[in-house]
Amino acid sequence: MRTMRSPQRERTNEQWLAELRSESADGETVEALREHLRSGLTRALRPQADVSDADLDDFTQDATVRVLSQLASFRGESRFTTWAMAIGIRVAYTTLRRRRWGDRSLEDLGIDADASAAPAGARSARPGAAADRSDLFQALRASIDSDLTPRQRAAVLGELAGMPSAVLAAQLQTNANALYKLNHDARLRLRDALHRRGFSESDVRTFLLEASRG
Amino acid sequence: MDPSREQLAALVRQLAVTAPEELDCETVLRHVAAYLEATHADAPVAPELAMIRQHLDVCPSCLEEFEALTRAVESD
Repeated sequence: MRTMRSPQRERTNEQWLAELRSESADGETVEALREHLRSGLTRALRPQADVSDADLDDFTQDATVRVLSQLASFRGESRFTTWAMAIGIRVAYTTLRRRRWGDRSLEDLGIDADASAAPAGARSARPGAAADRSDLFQALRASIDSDLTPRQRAAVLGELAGMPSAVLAAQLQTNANALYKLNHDARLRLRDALHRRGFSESDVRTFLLEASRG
Repeated sequence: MDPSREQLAALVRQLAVTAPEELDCETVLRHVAAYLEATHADAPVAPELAMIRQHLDVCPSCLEEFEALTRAVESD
C-alpha cells in the first residue's frame, strides 16, 4: 500500500530550530528536513553522472545528522533551509571528491612534502622579460621550486593536481583551516616572488586578458 | 610534479585575486547561505559577505559547492 505524503508545512527559522531540538530522530520535522535535503541534493548533483539513488540516500542521511549536530552554530543570517542545504552539499561533495580521488598520495603525484627548495635561479625567467605567457609560466615554475617551503609547495601542487582538500590535509597531517592558510601564504609568497622576478600586477592582468580571449 | 600550462594558468588567476586577508573554507560554509540569498535578492552585499566572493574566486571546491547550492535552492 502506498503511503500518502503530507505537503511540506512552511516553518520559520525559529520553528525549525525549536522543533528539531525537541524531536526524536524519527519526528515529523526531522523527516521534513530529510526530504528538503534529499530534493535539494538531487537538484544540486544533477550534473554528476556517477551519483546513484543509493548515494543520494547516503548523502541525505549523513547531511541530516550533520545539520542536527550543528544547530547551535546557526546564526539566522539566512533561511534555515538554505543554511542546512549548504551543509548537505559540503557533506556530499566531500564524499564524492574522496571517492573520485581514490587512494593516490602526494608521493604518487611526484610531490615530496619534505624536499628542500631548489637553488634560486635553477629555472630562472629572463630578467626584465616582457609579460609573455611562456615567460610568466617559467617564472612561476621557478618560484614554486625555489621560493616556497616544502609544505607550501606540496599544498600548491596538490591543489593544482586536483587532490581534494580533505585528502591533502590528511597527507600533510594538518586540518582544513591550516591547509587553507598554508595555501594562502604560498600564494602571497608566489605573487611577491613574481614581482621580484619582474612581473608586475599589470603583467598578470595582461595575461588574464589574453587568456580570456583564448 | 611539473605543473602543466593549464594548471599554471589556473594558479595565475588565483594569484591575481589573492588578498592579504581571506576567509577559510569553514568560515565560508557558515555564511555562504546568507551570501547566496543576498545575491539572489539583488540586495547590496554586506562587506563581510563580499569576502565570500573573493574566496570563491580562489577556491575551486567552494565555488563548485556554491554552484551546487544555487541549483539546490533554485525552486525553493
